[in-house]
Amino acid sequence: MIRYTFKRILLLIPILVGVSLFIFLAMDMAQGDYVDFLVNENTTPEQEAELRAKYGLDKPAIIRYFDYMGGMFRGDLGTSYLSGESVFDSFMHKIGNTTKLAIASTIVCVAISLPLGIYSAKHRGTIRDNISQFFAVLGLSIPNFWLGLMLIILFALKLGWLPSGGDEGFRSIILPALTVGTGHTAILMRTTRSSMLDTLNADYLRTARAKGLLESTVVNKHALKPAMIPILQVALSQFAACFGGASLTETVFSWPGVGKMIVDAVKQRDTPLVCGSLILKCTIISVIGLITDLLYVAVDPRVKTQYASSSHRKKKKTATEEEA
Amino acid sequence: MNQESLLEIEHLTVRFEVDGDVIRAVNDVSLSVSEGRTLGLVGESGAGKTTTALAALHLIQQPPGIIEEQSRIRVCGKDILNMNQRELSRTRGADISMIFQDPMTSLNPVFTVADQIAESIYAHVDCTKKEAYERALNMLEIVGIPRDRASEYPHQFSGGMKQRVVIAIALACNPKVLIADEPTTALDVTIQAQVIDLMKTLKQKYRTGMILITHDLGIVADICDDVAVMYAGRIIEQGTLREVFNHTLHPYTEGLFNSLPDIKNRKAKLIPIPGLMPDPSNLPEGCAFAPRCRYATEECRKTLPVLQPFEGTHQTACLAYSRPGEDFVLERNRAK
Repeated sequence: MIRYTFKRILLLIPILVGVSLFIFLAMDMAQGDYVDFLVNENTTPEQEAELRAKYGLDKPAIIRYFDYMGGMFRGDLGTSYLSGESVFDSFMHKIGNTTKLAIASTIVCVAISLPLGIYSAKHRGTIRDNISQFFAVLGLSIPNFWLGLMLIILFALKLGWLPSGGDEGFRSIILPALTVGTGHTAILMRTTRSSMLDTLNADYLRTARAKGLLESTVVNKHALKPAMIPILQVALSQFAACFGGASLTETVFSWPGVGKMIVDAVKQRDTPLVCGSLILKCTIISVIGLITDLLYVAVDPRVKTQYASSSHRKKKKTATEEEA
Repeated sequence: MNQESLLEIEHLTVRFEVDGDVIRAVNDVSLSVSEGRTLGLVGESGAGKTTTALAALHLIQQPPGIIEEQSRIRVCGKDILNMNQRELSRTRGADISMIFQDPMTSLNPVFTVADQIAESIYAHVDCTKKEAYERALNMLEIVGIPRDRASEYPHQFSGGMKQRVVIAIALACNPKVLIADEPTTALDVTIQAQVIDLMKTLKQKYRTGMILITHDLGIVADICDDVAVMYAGRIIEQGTLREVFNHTLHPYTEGLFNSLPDIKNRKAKLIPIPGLMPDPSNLPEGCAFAPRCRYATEECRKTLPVLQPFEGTHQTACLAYSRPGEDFVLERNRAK
């Protein structure tokens, strides 16, 4: 198990190298660079060249890339052009907010899709099933930014119940979390529905009913727990996606998270900030992926015995040797 | 009706409606099991044995299954088909329980075997979870599984051990009626013998009424008191073990015996029953066995036979016995 974790972490290195190379090249291909934002009609070409040399932008992209990577392997993710702050520090300032939003959206998503999926599976093929599925797909079909704007209009402008943006404590997180969360419900709801359909038809449910368990126990314990394996996987991958894809929502609600920071950095061609933040983001997403795999073990005993078998056997062996 | 009857099934008729097809799985089946008696329910695959058993616990999925109105099932005097959720859960597992056919899929893969047994005890017996678990460990020992394997999961068990866990679940609360759906099919011969012994003990010690569903006429001869033979969803012969085995009346039952090896005459050729059982979604108008029956006449293909009483409790549904001016005797009985 430890070996497996270690292997997975080593695998992260080529991924990060690839991601950073891609970002560097993409940023280079984009029109203009950071210096173009600084110059105006009064700047002389000499001054402009000086500025370029200051930020190292006079060198070709590939050289800058190797410079940057050299720094990265020493633990230095570079310095933001714009703020002059280290990329790592800027990222750490904002990641808390993004994590908060990710957790809140995942809670919203799970709270909607799990009951809806179970309900849908229990009433499969009926009108109730179709209505539940309609709402789940509706969540997926509505664009995030539009739903965000509509929620702002309704709850912030018309009703005045909730703030329209910024970070003013718990109340500010409700609307962005609803926006991101509902966007993810369709997939999680359909996963819940299909894996519940599998377990609801399983022979062991008949055994559970024959024992004299109440129908609610049969469904919520005997059908749900084995169905949790794929549900958990999808829920966690959506949690990971919240780190990667909430930029739009963060912008709409001016939520001071990483997504908004990266979008702003791209606009200003702040290459070190973009690249460094994305590398950190990538690491977080991969670590969540690893945690997902490890959580499998907790839910599915069949996986646990596979991992445990070697160490368990050794323990048993030494025990019998001691007895002898 | 008999006062001691623990399970009474009357006129049970079950059909399944799947994609516009109507599958008549069980047609007008009546049987009863009283205290301490074991009924062997025999017949080939698809004859409706398992459906009858599931109906007795009201476990038929509706839809697609439909239990027709005239059906009555009483478990310990209570009408199980009209029970609400709570009454059902009180009856299942405590008054009546079932050993399922396929041990590989009958256990939940994500709970330990002891937990799955304890759950049943906890649901019916007034005790703490810990006591229920302790009793589950005893149950495991009764079915021959050592205590230290109690916290293992079903996938760590062999097929035979899983079957024994399924049996332990069914027996956990000493049910008054036990339905065993081919409990020995998945087991090797030595374990089979143990399971049969276990069932005999139950019968003697707790006076459990049992229905044993099986293909194996040998096991029927070993532990059953009564026998009912099913064909295409109907009971076509019913009686005590002696009546059915020694004075077979129905040509189908005769066919079943003829397809068994004879221990006294090992050179005798087995005679299989020709043809296949009719498709239950398209049953013939007359006797369902007529197309395969060597005694069948034109009338058999047109008229549906009903169960007719013979000597004692013996009953059979065969038109040959009511043909005017003919004293019909099966070939199997002629030599005697």
